[in-house]
Amino acid sequence: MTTLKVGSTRSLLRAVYDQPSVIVSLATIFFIALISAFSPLLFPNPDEIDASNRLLPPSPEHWFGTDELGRELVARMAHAGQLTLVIALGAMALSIILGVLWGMLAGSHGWIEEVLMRTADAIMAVPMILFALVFVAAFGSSPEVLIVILGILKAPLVARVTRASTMVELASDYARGLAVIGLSKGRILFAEILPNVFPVIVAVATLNIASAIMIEAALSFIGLGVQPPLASWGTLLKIGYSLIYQAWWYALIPAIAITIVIAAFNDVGKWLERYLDRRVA
Amino acid sequence: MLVYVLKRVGSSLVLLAFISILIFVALRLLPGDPTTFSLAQGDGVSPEALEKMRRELGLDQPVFVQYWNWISGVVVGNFGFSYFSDFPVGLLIAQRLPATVTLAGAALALAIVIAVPVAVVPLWLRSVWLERITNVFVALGLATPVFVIGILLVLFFANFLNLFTGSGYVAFTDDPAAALGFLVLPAVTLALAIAPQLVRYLQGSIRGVAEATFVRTARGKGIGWGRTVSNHIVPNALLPALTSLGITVGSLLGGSVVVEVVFAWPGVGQLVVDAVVKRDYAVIQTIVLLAASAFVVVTLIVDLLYGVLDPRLRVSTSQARAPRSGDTSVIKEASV
Amino acid sequence: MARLRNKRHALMGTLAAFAVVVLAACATTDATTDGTTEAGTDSITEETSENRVVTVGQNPGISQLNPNISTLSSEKVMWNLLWDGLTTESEETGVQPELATEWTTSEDGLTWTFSLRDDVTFHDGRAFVADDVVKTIMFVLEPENASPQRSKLNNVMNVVAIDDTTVELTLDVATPLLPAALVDVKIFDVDNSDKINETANGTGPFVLDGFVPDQELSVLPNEDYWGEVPVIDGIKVVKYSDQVASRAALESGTIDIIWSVSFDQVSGLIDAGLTAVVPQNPSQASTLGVDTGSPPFDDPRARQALSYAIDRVTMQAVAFGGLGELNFGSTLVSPKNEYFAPDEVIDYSYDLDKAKKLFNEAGVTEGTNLVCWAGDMAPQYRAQCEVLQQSLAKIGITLDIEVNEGSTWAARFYPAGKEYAGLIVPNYLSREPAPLPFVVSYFGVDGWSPSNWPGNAEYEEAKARVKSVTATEDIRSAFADFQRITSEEQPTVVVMNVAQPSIASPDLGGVWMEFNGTIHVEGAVIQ
Repeated sequence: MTTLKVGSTRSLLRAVYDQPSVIVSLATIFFIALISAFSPLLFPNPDEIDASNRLLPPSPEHWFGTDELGRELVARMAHAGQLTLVIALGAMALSIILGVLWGMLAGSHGWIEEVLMRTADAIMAVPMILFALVFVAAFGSSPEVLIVILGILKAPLVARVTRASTMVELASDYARGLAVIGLSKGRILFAEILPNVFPVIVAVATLNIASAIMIEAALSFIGLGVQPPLASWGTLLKIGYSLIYQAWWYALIPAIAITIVIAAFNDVGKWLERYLDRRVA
Repeated sequence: MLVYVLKRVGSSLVLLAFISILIFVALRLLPGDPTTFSLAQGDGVSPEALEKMRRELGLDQPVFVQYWNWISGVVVGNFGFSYFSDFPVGLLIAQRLPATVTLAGAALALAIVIAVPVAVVPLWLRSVWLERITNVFVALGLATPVFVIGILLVLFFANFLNLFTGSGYVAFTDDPAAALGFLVLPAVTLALAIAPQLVRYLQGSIRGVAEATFVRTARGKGIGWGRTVSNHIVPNALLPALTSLGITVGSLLGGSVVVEVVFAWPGVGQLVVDAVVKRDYAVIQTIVLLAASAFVVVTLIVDLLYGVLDPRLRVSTSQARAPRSGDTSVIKEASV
Repeated sequence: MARLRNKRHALMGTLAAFAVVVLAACATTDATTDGTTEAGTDSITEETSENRVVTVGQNPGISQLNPNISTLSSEKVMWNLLWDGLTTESEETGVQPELATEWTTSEDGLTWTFSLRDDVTFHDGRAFVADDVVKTIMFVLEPENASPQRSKLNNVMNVVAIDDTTVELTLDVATPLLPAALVDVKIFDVDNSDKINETANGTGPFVLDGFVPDQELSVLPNEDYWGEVPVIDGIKVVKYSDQVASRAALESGTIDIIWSVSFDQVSGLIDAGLTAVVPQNPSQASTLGVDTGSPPFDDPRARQALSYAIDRVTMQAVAFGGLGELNFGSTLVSPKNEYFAPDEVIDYSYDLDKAKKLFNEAGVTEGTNLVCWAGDMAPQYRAQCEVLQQSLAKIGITLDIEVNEGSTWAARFYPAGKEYAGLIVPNYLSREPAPLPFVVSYFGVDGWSPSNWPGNAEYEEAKARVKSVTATEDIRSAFADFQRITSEEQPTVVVMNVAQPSIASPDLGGVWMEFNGTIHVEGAVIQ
């Protein structure tokens, strides 16, 4: 039987010592999240057009330079970061909700397990960007739609992990004991199994955020994701790239930001996986 | 053995059927249809012309009839017609397939050439800090989206060094030298995008093998470390790593979509992006189905080959199904 | 173990082979790529003779080859390569005979007789006869074929082949500019129209060599052409959907000209030593459309206020790369058009005070919300909205910007008559300029502008005159009235006249752009 042991401080410190980069990653995420969340306060006028100051390089007055309409790039990046993170977090949340229900259902009811898991396999067989393109063709590419698409895209992975965990848990003596004393399957699932499955999900969730950011950026970069006047980092990257001969920094800044954030989430996700793997006996 | 083969083939077919339904339904959920796009371009289009277009494309029939028409055609190789150009979808894809295959093939070859040494050398030299450096680069590589790699390469080579400045495509058969010149940047971009994944898979399977008893036996027999690595560890590690070939093909196809757009490479990836812009469902559904089929087929072949090559698996198929702990986490971290 | 070892060796052998092949490729690539780059520059300076293939890069590509159902302006480049019309447009001298040698009209102007050339053959060898003209025109007139040229031939009631080299057209309304309207009606092999994408059987100066839809079109000179056989080796039209890639290709010599470069790229490309190909008098107009049937823009004062509130100079700099001609009269007649009447139009130079005053009179007070509806097919629409947003903010009006997918434009505004209160819609009109009747037919009764302006008696009268008169002074006076009325009423606000430029390498000659943005490469030469 597995119990959720959050763990002693000692084991936590040990885990951090084994992978010290996780501190840097967490700090990065925290920093970027803070700036993005407070972007309306820090940079109240991202859309201030100043036609005479277009495409200036980074300098003390313009930290990231200016864009093609004279707007402060640092302000645009902050606001775009907010949208990027909102879409990624929304997608992650949807993938967790959908995936956990999916996986628990599949793990506990033998008769529909085949259908559910085949559907999961089907979604995972399609290269992610092509899958996203199919839905963009059908539903367009507003941020809400992108959240739904990315959520559905990553849900099968969560489902697989959840199903495996659920099956293991249900087979344990503890769960079987609960069933004997009359608890309904639903109650067992949600009250007892879910909390034990949860730690594993957290790691997958973190990795899903990274994946969502990457796919959304790719879609926006080829013009089929977040469209102007809204902007995510991918959109800014697309515009920057088209101006690469005139303003090479304009493409570099979003590129670096996207890469750093994905690396940070990946790092934290892997660390969580290892740490929680240790906790779950 | 035969039973195993039949079961695997059967389940692959079922999977393909699921995929085709999924794709088809997704595209039909949209209100409106491809005729509205061509309408936006012209300003002399009458309602009769629209009706004619709809009839010709079969859009006035119920969904399951449309699905059946499509899928029964696909099975015999008839992929229907594009909604826009009256060209058969099969022809459109065939015209562009050589370009994509060239790109993907070159990228895969390059990626293997990069990944194998990167995974093996730190083990061979038994250097811990070399392994740490490798891990940092691999982590960075996995986090860098393929288009960022492309942008950096364009900035570095085309802008600063003034090499490989042309972008376009020439068929190999026409002019091999120029063709290679155009191929370099896109292939290197795609190769760098998937090499980190391959390194991870290799590292995972090497780790699994390095702890096996026969390695200790080899060392016990007095075989030097170098020999042990090259004759015992690596060959046995390659086979498990092969199981990731399906996912690698999937990543290649996904990555080539972006690379083809960025480098003006006239392959199937550009075709699907154009089709999405125009809402050309006929083209989109066929390409996505083919891409997914490539994944399924490659995985099937690898699984069957694995059954042939590794006798241990033929004994208990359930073991083959169990995920190896190294592998699942790598799947999650996979990039585009 | 033995079996396994063999397989191991096989695997290692394959990997080794891969490695060798790739390394060899890398080695040769390094050598040849330097060679290619140098060869690229060499070919521009060495091959000063005309033997070369000229390559056009454009986005989007060419989807299909029938000029009479083309809806994409990107396909126009091939209209003059593979096909001929009865008449053609020339850079210096306007409308010229092409397949027709001369034409006469009856007294009442309702019957036209065209004499055709007798030495023309289709690409498949068949002789061109009057019947082909009849079939083509009937094809265009058939509503089911959805030909964009149909509206140009609106007045044609009947077309008959008198003999193999004579065609007679019967109209219901006298149309003095019929030859100009026929320029875009390209003669094709109607009986084999279902194979047109594979054979492109026309009469033009080039024949089809290869066609990958949306990707590449390649044509070769037509050795049996009735006119001058082109001197170059061939023309390729290749799709480049990525601007950076097309620019890299142009600078390295892989392509010779990029069609329709977006405005924000222009100055950078000129600085790099490339040539901009623009029309001498652009007729295409950047406009802002409003719904004149609903508040607040049903009040002409509100429309005038909008026109005053547009900072045309900034819009030109920011959205159009500084190109084009500003149109302060805000009518569909460009200041460079020979029928422009400067004394008849109001001067709508940027004046926020006038704008505010007129808006207030029309009931648009501070705190009002308007929406700028920008389609995503052209980047300048969004930029225009953004400039307007800043201007209106200064007089207390909030402008929200909505960017919408190009494919939703039709559903929102087509057909004419739909309601869109409070929306301002940047648009780009690209049809025949004055003195062709399209301009006046755009508005009023039976007009098909989405502005919903009903016109007035005076306007309808001016419209009728434009369509019927033939003497130059009468045309001039009719158009003067048209300009006066529309400048005052502002059914659509016109910002400026500008054509999307093409950018060419300096050694490409013989290429020119029509007033409506169509690029002509059929006469290309390497200098």
